[in-house]
Amino acid sequence: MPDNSEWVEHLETLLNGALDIWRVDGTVTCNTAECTLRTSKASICVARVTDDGDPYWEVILQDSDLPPLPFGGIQGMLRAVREAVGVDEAGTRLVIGPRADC
Amino acid sequence: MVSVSVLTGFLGSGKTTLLSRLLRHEDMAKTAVIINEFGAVGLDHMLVEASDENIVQLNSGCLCCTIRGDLVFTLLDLLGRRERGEVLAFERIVIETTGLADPAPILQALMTDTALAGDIQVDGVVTTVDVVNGTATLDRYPEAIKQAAVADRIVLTKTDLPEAEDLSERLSVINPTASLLTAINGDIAPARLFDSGVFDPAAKPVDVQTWLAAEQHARHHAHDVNRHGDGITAHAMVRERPLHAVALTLFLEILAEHCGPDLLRVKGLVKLVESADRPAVVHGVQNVFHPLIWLDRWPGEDCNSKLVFITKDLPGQWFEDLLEALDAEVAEAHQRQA
Repeated sequence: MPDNSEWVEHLETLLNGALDIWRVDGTVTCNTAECTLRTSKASICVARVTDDGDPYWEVILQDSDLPPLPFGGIQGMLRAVREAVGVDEAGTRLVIGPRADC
Repeated sequence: MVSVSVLTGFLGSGKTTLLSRLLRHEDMAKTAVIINEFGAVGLDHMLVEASDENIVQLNSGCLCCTIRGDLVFTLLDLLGRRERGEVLAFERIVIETTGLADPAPILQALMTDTALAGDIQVDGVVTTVDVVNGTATLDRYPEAIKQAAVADRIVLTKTDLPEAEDLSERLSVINPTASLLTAINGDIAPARLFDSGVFDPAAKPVDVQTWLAAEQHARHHAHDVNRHGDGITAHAMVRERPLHAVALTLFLEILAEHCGPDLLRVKGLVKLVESADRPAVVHGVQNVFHPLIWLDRWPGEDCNSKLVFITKDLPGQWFEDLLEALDAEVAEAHQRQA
């Protein structure tokens, strides 16, 4: 099972790559516990919480009064960060074609 | 099951010449043709010599933009007439697109329509590229680049002319998964273009081998894939450790959500934890994926997962990082449950 520093490494590469994918200018800085993504529109802190129970991702919108947002998986965490940085285009949904034998 | 192929290529690249010549071949006898022309009066169907009853024109717009529904309707109508014996009992349909068409939405329509699912099998995309005007066309028209990027077969035309250029390297960088073929005046055996089994790899493992070979090419050019400024990059991923099926599903969902139209094609074989001896074939066009197909065995001694992504300016390394993180997350959840 990866320790938290390994998760921070995963997170740093994921967030940096995501900025490229979304065509958004920004920076990602990390310490041993969390990463902070900064763009012209938002400053977002993301951490993996592993204290008690099942681990989860926590997204904190630093310019907002909203409480930390918990996400059980990478998928939800990325979606929240994407919305927070103000990507205008709506994400597309995965479509699996019908099986010929069904 | 009727096999459906998409024949595309930029304006003047030789689609109609190729199709006309192909239809004279005895192996194409049981073929119906749908010709999409942009404009009220179609001409291409007049240039294609074949039985009129098996040629359908779609002139009301471009298939990839406005008349995808018409395409499905036309296919269902053709299949119905075949069923009723009103037309030749064709075994293959070739859809010739307009010269400016984007083949991806056409493929998506073919892959996702439930009414067609039991009757057709998508065979793949054949793209003609004129090697006399090819460089200028690829430089100026993104449509031409996308037609090449989405292809399963690229047919080089006009290679006999003195002005012909060698485009093979550039095309291999745009799309290392496609076979490069040559046809002078449309002269090529139909078997080299059709029934490729791209969406049914069990039927023709050689195509899977082509994708796998493409992985090496994509890696070789990883340092300079953008040197032509085409904006299309191919990224290959090799993974030794088997992947959890849930991680693969999440991976595809995230790709669809975040990469969408910039993810032109994904092809590959994946070793899943749940089925390590039987590779799963992954095949997607933008956000639309074919249902996973399991091969009976690995096509060779190399049992590593291999995926090739053809994208419009997406950082390929992110795909590897994402997959690694997702699999670690799923593995961690499994361990906690155990």
